[in-house]
Amino acid sequence: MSNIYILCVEDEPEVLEAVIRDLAPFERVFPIESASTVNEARRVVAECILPKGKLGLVICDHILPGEDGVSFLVELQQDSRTVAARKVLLTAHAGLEATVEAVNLASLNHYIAKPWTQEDLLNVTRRQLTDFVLEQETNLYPFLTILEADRLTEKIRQAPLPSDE
Amino acid sequence: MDRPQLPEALARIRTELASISKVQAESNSFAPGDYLLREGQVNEQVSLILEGAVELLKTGEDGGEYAVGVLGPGQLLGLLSLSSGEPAFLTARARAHTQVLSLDREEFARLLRTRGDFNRLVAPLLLDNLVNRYRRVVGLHLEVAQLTRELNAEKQELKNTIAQLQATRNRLIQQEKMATLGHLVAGIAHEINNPIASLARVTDSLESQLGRVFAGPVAAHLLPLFQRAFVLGLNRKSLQTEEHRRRSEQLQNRFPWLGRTVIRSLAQLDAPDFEELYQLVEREPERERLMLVERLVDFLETAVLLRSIRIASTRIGSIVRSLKNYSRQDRAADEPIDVREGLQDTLLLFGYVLKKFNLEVDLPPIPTVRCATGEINQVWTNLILNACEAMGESGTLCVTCGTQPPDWVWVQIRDTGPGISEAVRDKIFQTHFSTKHGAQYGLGLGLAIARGIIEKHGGRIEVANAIPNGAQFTVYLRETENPPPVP
Amino acid sequence: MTKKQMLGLGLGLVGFLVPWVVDLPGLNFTGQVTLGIFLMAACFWVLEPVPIYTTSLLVIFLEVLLLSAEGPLYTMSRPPTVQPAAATDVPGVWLPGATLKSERFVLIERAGTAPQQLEVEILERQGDQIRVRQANLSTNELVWTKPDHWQATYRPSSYRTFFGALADPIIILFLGGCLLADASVKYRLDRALTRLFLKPVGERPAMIVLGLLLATAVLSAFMSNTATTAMMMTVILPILARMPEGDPARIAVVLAIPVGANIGGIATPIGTPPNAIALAALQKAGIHIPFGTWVMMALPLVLITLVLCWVLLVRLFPANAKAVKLDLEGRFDRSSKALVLYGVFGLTALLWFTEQQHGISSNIVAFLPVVALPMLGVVGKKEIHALPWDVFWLMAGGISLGTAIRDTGLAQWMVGSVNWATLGTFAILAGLAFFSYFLANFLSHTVTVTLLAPIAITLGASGQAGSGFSLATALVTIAVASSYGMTLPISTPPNAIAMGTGVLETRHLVKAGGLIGGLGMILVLLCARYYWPLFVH
Repeated sequence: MSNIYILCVEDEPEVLEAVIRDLAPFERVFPIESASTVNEARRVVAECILPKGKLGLVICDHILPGEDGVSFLVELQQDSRTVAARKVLLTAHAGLEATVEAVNLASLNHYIAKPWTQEDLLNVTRRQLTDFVLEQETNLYPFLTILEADRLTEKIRQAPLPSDE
Repeated sequence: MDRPQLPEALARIRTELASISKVQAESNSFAPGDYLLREGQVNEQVSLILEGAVELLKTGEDGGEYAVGVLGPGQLLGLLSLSSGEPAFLTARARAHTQVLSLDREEFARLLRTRGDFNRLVAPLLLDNLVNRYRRVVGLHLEVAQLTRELNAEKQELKNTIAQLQATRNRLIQQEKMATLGHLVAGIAHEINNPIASLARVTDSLESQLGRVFAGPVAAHLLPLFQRAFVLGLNRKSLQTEEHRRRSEQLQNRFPWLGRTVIRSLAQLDAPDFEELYQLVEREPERERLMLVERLVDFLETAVLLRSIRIASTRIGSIVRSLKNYSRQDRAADEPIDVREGLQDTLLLFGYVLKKFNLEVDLPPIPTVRCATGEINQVWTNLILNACEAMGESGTLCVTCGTQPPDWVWVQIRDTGPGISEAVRDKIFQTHFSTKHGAQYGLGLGLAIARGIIEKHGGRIEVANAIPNGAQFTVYLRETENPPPVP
Repeated sequence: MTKKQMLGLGLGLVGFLVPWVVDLPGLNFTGQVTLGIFLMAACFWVLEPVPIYTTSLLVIFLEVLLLSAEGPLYTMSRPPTVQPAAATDVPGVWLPGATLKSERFVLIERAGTAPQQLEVEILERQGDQIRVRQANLSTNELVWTKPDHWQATYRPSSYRTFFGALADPIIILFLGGCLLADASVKYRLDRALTRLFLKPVGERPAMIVLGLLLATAVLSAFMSNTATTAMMMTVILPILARMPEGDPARIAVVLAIPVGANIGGIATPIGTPPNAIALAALQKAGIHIPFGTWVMMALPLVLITLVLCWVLLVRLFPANAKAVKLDLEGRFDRSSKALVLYGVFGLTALLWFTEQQHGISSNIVAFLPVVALPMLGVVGKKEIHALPWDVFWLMAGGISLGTAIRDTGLAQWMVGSVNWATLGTFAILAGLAFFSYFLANFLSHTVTVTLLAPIAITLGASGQAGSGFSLATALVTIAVASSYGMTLPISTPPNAIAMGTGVLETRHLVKAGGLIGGLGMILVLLCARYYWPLFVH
């Protein structure tokens, strides 16, 4: 099974650490990668993630040095290899305009305002990754222990089973 | 006298005068525009207008000539001089082809006195003249009253308009200030949100982390190891994500039995520190190493969390300090200040706007300047936001300062936007001038306000196009005359 | 296509063609054709160049084409016939001399069946004509002029026989079972039952493992093993998240499910297709094992095995955690349709278990839910469409191949090539059990039993295995032994699902599955020796 990665992009080291720390419960199944700029994130996707697996979820700050987060998400949306990745904007400040752009062009899946609570972040991550695996994966059992079991169960029950006993 | 009788009366006067052989009555003709009399001239004659029309003019205080009335046939010119002997009070100018009969004024007076028939003929005319003039004076009074009333009304209206304009202008300036303030607030919210988020998350994590640290007893001989890990965590330096990733990969290759979370934590340590710790771990039996490393990471992470708290609170402190400095209300308006501090504060508080641009800040020491901190920071804010707006999505913002003889301190803010064309260069400091419809950071008053503030402080602002592109605003302020001794 | 699949395709085609080309001594032509089909099917089933159920369909099709009386091979290659010419003034009829077989017989054409052999008395020879006397030989009969034609030795079955396998009574039994299971899934009866079963086990990990083994086994006795495993995994994996990472009990918990499902499938005829294949083969041989009898035979074995599995799993993967909280959701559906389902389910099960009292075959009873559930609106077209038709077809292919192997004499030929008498009855049984277990670890269990059942049937029918050999015991042994084949991830779909959870490593499965299989074989042989003969002869 190829790995499904979570990518966190955030330029404040302490905030990035906090995000990763909060997401640690997912790390057992979904390895986490991080980047502090859009450029670096691009490189991480190309060199660290795609050769070894898929990009499942991006949690991206909006205001980043140089290029902003939304444009990065738009870019991911336009790449066939990362179009399926779920996209979450994590930001302390974003105008309506940026949010609209993110929703329309990057198919932004969720928006988290800083400061967040771990419960929120875990719930959003769980929901988004569940969406991702429901859409992308055929073997859903490995995710039952960590993602939204109800939705996965529903899909498993509806899917045809291998029946050559 | 009734009008139909007038020609007859005039004819009789003429005949009467002609019959008095000794009387030198001149009959004069005037073309339109000819002067019969000039104001201030000595007038020795009384003229009876036989036909045509004579315009009366009076020189006003401002030197202009104003029409005060028109005389027609049967009216007399020079009556004032006749009675007082003073020079002509008014200027008389023929308006149409005019025929007058002129008599020397003494002759006229004598005739009036001596010749009953003349008197009989002329007296009604005189009376008529006087009545006419009186009527006109009354009319004039009424007219003046009317005009004065209208004038007052207009004056009031004008006053109102001016007041309204003033109010509008103040409101616009206020709005501009509010817009900037909005940005300032958003900026502070953003700047303060990151450390707050970090703090909030760290305190939550610390709870569970401490729980793990106190979960089991620590063997006495391992205590130094954990203490060392704790100290290293507290003094950890911030790490680039790339470097962190590189170290993580190395560690993962070396210790494939460690989970990613543990690896991530260990990768924060510099290589010598890690080796030092790992040597201590290696002394222990192999089957206990995994547990030991996990334990060690618990201590390390606890320290890292504490460090994060320290960093976040320091950060919030510096933001609050900048904010306080930014709009100092407690300083006198003309205290000597170092404008560089205000620049730094402004750059910090608007960090979220500036993040997408490259920032080149070169601020060598400069003399102090007497000014109101809050106001001068408003100038920097407006110029910086203006530059950001001009650059759009990316570019480089340069902020420099320096001195210029004899006593100028200058601050220059340069962007790499499209620059300012010759055509609009003179207009940019006017209120309501903006190159953008619905400007992003304000109403387009920013530069006007900035100039207002600078001029108030006796300085000046210059604009030029930067090379190779972009605009460059330079603010000149006078340095403090007697600078206090540099400590 | 992988190399393995290419190999399968190549070997299958070669296997199919060889008997056409090579003349195998002692095996008639039809037997050779059947052997070709068998070899091809075996290669295809083992190496899977095409899905195994499609191989089954191909088998049925080839049988209809090559072995049925109506198939092109038979109809297009009829041997030439001649009508006897009446003799004038003398008794008897004239026939070509070539019609004579062994100088004594002629073969008379009989539509749709093997030719009828008549003994004739030769009265006279004139050139290549003979005059023969036979009371039943009229001039209306058609006499084969090639009495040694290959068709003479095989009475072809009607194509109905081969197509009939698709609706074999055992398939109907399975259909009924599947429809009940699907309806149970639809109304969440499976989940509700799981909750019921797991409620009393408490929070001790060891007890949870036992509860899981039993619950899974009970469900899989009535549902397909795969469906049971899939459902149980969705129940258990979210709970697993509460157990600390690295606790070996996690492995025990996950392993309990495929193990319980595989073992539980043994318990009833509808528990798993191998049981049905064995029963179908027995029915063809005239032996009927009632539903209840099968359960009586299998249940002790299942229970003992489950207890052993429990001990084994708990020992191999002892829990670190003291307690795991199981809060399972799932209530019994109380809607009217669900109540109808419970009623139909209960009635069907009751009739199955009491077959010996009322005498109605469980195959017939199985049609009750097939009729009742859709009629009462409990299930709709959607559920009918979702039935595991591939499993039915896979079984049908096996059943019809078994029929062909027996009927064409291929079985006798294959069995006859080994001297069984020297082996001893029990050794033969043990051999079959181990061979079945061995194959089942690599092949689909259904395929394993399909391949082995005809051999056992022939052994029993031919009497070559000795008088103590019980055909019924042999087939039950083969079927049951196949269910123990669960060493590898590929052995059964439940194993594959368990591996797919990512909690297990192959070595865990091999360790537990291997030990359970080894112990299971001993238990199976003990049953075959001492217990099962009490029920069947």
